[in-house]
Amino acid sequence: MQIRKRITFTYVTLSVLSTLLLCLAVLVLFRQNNRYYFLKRLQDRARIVASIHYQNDPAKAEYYRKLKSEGLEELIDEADYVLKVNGNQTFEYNTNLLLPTEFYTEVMRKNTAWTEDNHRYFYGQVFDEEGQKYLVIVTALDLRGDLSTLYMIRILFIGGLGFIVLAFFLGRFLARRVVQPVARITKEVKRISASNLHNRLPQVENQDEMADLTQTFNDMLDRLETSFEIQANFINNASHELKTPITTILAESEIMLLQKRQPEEYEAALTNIYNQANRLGNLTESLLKLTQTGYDGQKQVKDVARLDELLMDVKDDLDKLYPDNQVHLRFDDLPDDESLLLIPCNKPLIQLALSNIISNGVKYSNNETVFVTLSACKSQLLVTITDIGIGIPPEDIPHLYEPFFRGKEASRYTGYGLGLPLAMKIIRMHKGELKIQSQPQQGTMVTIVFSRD
Amino acid sequence: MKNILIPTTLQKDTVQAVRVALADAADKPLQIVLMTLEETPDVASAAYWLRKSRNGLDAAQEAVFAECLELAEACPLVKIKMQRQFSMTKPLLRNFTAACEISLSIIPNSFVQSSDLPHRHFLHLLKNSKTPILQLTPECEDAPFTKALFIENTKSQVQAKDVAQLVGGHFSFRIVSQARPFDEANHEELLPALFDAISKNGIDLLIETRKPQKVFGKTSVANHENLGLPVLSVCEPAY
Repeated sequence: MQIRKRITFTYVTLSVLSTLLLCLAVLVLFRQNNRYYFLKRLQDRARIVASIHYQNDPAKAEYYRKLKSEGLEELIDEADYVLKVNGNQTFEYNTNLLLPTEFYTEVMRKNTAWTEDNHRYFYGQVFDEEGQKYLVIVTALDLRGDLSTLYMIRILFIGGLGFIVLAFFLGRFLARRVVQPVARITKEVKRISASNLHNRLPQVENQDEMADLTQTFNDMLDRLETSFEIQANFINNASHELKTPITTILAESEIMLLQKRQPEEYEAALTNIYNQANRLGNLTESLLKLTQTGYDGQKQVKDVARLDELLMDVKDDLDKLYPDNQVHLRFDDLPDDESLLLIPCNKPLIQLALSNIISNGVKYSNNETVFVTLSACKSQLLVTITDIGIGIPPEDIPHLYEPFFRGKEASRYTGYGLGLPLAMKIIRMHKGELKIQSQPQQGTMVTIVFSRD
Repeated sequence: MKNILIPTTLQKDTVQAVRVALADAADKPLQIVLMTLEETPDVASAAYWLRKSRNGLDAAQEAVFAECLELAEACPLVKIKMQRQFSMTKPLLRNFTAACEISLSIIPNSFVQSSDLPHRHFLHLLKNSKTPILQLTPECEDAPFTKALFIENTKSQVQAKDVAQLVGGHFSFRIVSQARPFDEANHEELLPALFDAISKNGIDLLIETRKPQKVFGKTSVANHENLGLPVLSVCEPAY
């Protein structure tokens, strides 16, 4: 059964059940109320009968009878009996009254009682007149009460039927409302296939379960996409990323081997080679771990680094690679509280991401000025990388994160189209966001935002 | 003034605790309170109590105390105070901490390992107090701690950036790594990754947070003992 039908069916069933219970409660209470007021009327009559009997005055008896017939509401087939009570359990018996013994016993015990037999009510009460007790029994037919009960049942039945029909339509409406967001998500998910795995479901504004589901779906797609691509492109990624330190090592050793040098120079060169080899080792390890963990970002032990120091390290590395680069780090807007610059991360990977983005700026601006700005507040860390390079045409922007994608302009430069997708994934793994704004022939501004939890 | 409390059994490792305290003090004025805890003899009269209670220190303890004093003499701004305490309660500890302006407790390993009831009880009270606690290990060095690994509490909201404030300016360490166990159960699984991070980053101090509410039995400090590093435990603020 479809969820929509199941919701409708459940809603209708629950509505019928609750309506039925309500009808029953109304009916029972209505009947009880009817009976209460009918007995109240019988009680009034009994008092009048007792009073007439006590006064034993024909004129007053006539007056009361008149009052009863004209002033009080008429009772059907009304009759009253006054029975003299002789002793504790004995009284004069009237043969017209065919009442059970229990009724008399109860009246004698409690001074008042009632019983019902086929819509006829009997009300009995004991009155004391100057030491002499009398048992007054008043009886009448309650046909009107029965009629109104019947009328009530009819209303409830028709109303109940109407309500069930209404519940059916409301249930369908509810089911549609409930299922609609799921249907929307299904429709959007169908759009996403292996070729466009970088697409995401549009995030809904509110904070309901559907927003959670969308978020979960997007997170799953993140993991799926990253592990999909990283595993598929591991060798490419590895060779791309390992190229930089290897180039430095080769260049360094080549320069050193050109001629004989002083021991200090050798020491400096070896230190540099050692550092680069160390970086190579860390990178290999990180990339290997990346494939092992499926890139889900759930690493248990993270490095805590200062983002300004990370940027300075990246700048140091770039200085070796592009000695005449014009990368300017601008830390004018740093907070007084240094702890706000701390970021829990995988240090080699985040360095790699930042290095990829900044070196893209250097590369595609033909070594023009690149500004790297860092600012931090309690809620986020913001890195902005601005270059005045060739820019990115708007039609290329949606494809920037696809591995091996090379824009028309960009194909003039050496590269594999792997740096930015990898950087994007690393940043996303660190709960960061990467935004690119660009104008062709004007420049590009890359904004990286790391939000704190 | 930021004073340091060292609950001690006056064994050899107390000297190490004093060294750590002195390294933290640098050139600031500091009072180090060495506190010994003894059980109250169960006696009826004051005179009998005086006879029963152990007076003074034995020769080994005297030697350790003398060594501590000697270390302190080298730093003119540091004073060492000896406090002999019979029994301890929560309000007593709170008032003592406030009166002596204690802002850090350094616990030598021998005190942690002691099975004496007053020591266990005091440790328990201390862990339920709000003072940061530095628990030393036998193999830890005196060098001032520089690189720290922050072990996050699974349910805590404290982040690495908040730790420096919680420690109250003691030690000039820097948090270089942080670990977050997915749940309390998988501490064992985390160990290899922790060892890896410790050796790679040259970490010499562990930092963990503890809940301010009462914790009965063993607290989580014990969980990190097998990493062989001193553990600085800070109390989480109530959010």
